[in-house]
Amino acid sequence: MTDKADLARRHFLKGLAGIAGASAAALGTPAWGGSTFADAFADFLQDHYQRMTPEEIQATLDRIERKARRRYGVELECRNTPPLAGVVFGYAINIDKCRGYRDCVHACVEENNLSRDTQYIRVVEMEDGSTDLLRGDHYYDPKDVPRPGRYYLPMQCMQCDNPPCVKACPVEATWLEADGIVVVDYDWCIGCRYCMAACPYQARHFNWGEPQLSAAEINPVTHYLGNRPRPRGVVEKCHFCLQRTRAGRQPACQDACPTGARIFGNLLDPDSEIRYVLENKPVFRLKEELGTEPKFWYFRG
Amino acid sequence: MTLLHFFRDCIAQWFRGSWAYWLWLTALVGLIALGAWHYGLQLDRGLVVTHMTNQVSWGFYIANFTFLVGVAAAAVMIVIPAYIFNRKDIKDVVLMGDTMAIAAVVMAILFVVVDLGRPDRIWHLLPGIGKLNFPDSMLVWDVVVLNGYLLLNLGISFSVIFCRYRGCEPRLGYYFPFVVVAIFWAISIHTVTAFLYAANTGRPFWSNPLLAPRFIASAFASGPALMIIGLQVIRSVSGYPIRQSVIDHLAIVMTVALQVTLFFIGAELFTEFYNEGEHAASVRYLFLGLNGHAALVPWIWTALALLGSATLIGTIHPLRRNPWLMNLMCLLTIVGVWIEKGMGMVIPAFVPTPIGEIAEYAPSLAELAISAGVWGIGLLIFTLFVKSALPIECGVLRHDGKPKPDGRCALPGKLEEKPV
Amino acid sequence: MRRQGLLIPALALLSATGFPFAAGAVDTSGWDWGAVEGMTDTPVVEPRRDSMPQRTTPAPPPVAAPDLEAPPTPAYALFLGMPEFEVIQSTRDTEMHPCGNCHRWAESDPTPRPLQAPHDNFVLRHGLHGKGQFWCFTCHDLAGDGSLRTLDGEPLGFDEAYLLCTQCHVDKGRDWAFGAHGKRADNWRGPRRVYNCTACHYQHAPALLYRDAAPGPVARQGLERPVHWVPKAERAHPLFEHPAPWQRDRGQEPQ
Repeated sequence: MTDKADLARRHFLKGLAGIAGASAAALGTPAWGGSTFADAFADFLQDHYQRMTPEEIQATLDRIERKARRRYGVELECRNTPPLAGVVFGYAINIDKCRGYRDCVHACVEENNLSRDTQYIRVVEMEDGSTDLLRGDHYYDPKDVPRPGRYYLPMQCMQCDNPPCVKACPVEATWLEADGIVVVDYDWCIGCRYCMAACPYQARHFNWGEPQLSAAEINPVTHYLGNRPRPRGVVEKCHFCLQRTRAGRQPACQDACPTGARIFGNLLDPDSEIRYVLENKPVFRLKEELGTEPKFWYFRG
Repeated sequence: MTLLHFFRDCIAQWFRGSWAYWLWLTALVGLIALGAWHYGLQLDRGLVVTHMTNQVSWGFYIANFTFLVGVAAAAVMIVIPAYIFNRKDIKDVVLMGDTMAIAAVVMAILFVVVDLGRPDRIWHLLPGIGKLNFPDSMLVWDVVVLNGYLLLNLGISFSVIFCRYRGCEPRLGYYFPFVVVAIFWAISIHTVTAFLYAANTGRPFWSNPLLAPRFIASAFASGPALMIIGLQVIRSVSGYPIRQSVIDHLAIVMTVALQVTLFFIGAELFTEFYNEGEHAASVRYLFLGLNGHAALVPWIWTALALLGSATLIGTIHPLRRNPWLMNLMCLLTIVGVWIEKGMGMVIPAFVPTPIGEIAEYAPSLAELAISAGVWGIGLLIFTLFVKSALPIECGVLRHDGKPKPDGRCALPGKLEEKPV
Repeated sequence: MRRQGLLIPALALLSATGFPFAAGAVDTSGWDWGAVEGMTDTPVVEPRRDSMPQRTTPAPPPVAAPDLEAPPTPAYALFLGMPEFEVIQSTRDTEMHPCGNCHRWAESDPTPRPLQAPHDNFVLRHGLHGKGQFWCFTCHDLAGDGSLRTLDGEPLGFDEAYLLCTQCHVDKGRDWAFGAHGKRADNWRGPRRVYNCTACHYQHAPALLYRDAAPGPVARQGLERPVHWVPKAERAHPLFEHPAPWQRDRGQEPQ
């Protein structure tokens, strides 16, 4: 895209926004699905995250916070923390230790303001001696876990380095960030769900209706590309809790796991725990033959 | 100015017709209204009104989309003999073929639009102000080729019919390059659609090289079938001269395409079932059921029976020449291909999910209604275009107001055909 | 089961030969095994394939007895040169077992024996090794307030339980030091705060307990889960239903 075309488009959008803003100045009442007309119009014309200027991004963050205040009555903080330099995140699950509790699943739901009918993490109960996902049980609910003769595979977005979903998206609403996380611009996604068809790990989820989220359940510390409240009709997925991890904290799933089965860290740091696991433990990745280069390993030991 | 008169005259044609025509129009408008009302519901509440889930994230809309892209591509089966082989009889109906392509492409695009979660953000797909993931995303390729095909067909049809309206004869040298482009473009729209599916290596049901050839083969069966039925309707309600040779040509094309389709299906079944592994789970779900889930099994076997019967009728010459059996063959083909390429191609790739979950899908009432509405729009476009085009083609409607019927048409009566 | 079957006689053999389990070795020949509630063997599921290779050569001999004359390794030597960490303090241990309440003034009997009242409600279930291989004062300081001690007799605080555990569980200790075992709290970079062994493994009965799983996947809003997602076979089509090759139970059908 040439600079000229860029500029022309910017001016066009700005012009439209200017007209809208001028005419909507008096129409500040929240009637447009909870937004004011000005906010709704600005939402409609919002540009792609990677093309917005810092001022536009800040205006967007403010708008998100205003919407949350109007809709949920919650004082939200929506940040835009950039990726940390020299960091590429990796994750490893010790399948000897995972006991199928699903504590990670529910911690993620709470941390990331998920609609209560969506779960980023899916723990699959597998039979010992088999890696056959078709024989896995997603709906296990035994009296006690772990069930004898079973092991557990928690699955979430693998944050592939060669992501088929990024290739598939027609509007580049999802892309691979510098710190290795595949993120979604929820305000740019058109909801075509091609990425969901392309993902070999069933890791992407769609907001079929309005997210089932109540004000009391909201986590007010959010990130634009992460856990801020999503609109209806867009795709979302695990983003390694970037509102936490870009601030140096562990993701919510790792935090919640009572058995310490989850290891998270910086793949570029040779002294990190994840690097120790990758170098010293028998690790494997799922569906490696597809060439997706996931950054999510499983190991025993 | 001529242009304005052209549009005025064309639109005026829409309001002239028999009671049957008005009944047909009323039915279509009723379908469209039903679809529009349900689409309003969908806009209001979101895609929850459908039965699609995270497990089966594409459903009835995309199934119809796939079928219709094939129908649009099949217009090439009229364009090639008309312009490359210079068959005069087929040249008479080439505009009908183009119109069918236009209606089919419009329906296909509409099916994608109603499937979107955020149709208000469709401007993100516009080059320049949007952000297009070109050349990586096959969906962008599909959008580009479909819109291009629509423009091509609109352009060619418009230039031909506008020329005739003004009394001149369209200059072949002028629009022939576009025709050649359109021929290749037609194949490409359906190939790109097939590539859209085949690109997903995580879904082995789609990700095989035979998908694009299968698409083309079944398209060349279903498109001509629809064309035959449409042409016969046009021939019976108006006096437009459609020779039986045109119908025969389309029927032969259809038969060969059906035979190839059956061969391709057979090749796929062998490859999947001979040494059955886990990549065949989706095929097993479709044909035999998986773990007790067998919702699509009766559908696919019915489709195979329909296609097999249609192939039989087409292959046996005396049967094919019988008009009743030939029309039956068309109906069997349309329904059979619609099942096999629509729901029978889109849904099984999602069952089981790539990580082994089985979740079945059946369309909801809203999906059926909205789909009926979109089909109504397509049929309405076809009806209205043909309604305007026929008098111009027959020389009855001219800009200068001096009709010059060329004797071929006998409007409003019927023409005795001399079978070729 | 085969492995465990070998292990118990081997251990019995070793203990009979006076295998020096450091300073805590005891003579268990006079013990009444029935009086000490033992941990039952963890059920081991037989592998489904009956094509497991049968052992045709004799099992390798047990590990040779270590050199008793060599100086014992200090417990903390394992952690020399490993990444720095800080152990999260746990108050559970002293709260659960206020041994000092009585043993501050009461005499402790060092004789290894099955415990009577008021201790008969307390059993040491520290794995197979625990059954008679060591008892309270292997790990606890007899003279002090009941806090810990290394096998050499060096005193350890409760927060240094990891030093004690890793005297035997060396591989796990190494993994724990590098982060492949155990759990790191709060942050993935910066100061490393890790949980002690006893935060997860109750030191006197370290086998992890079972518990219920949290609720499973939910259906999309507007859809009832059972209608579409029943995982068990519900509607078998009589004409076509037969198990796929990979679904046949390999244990029952001869191939």
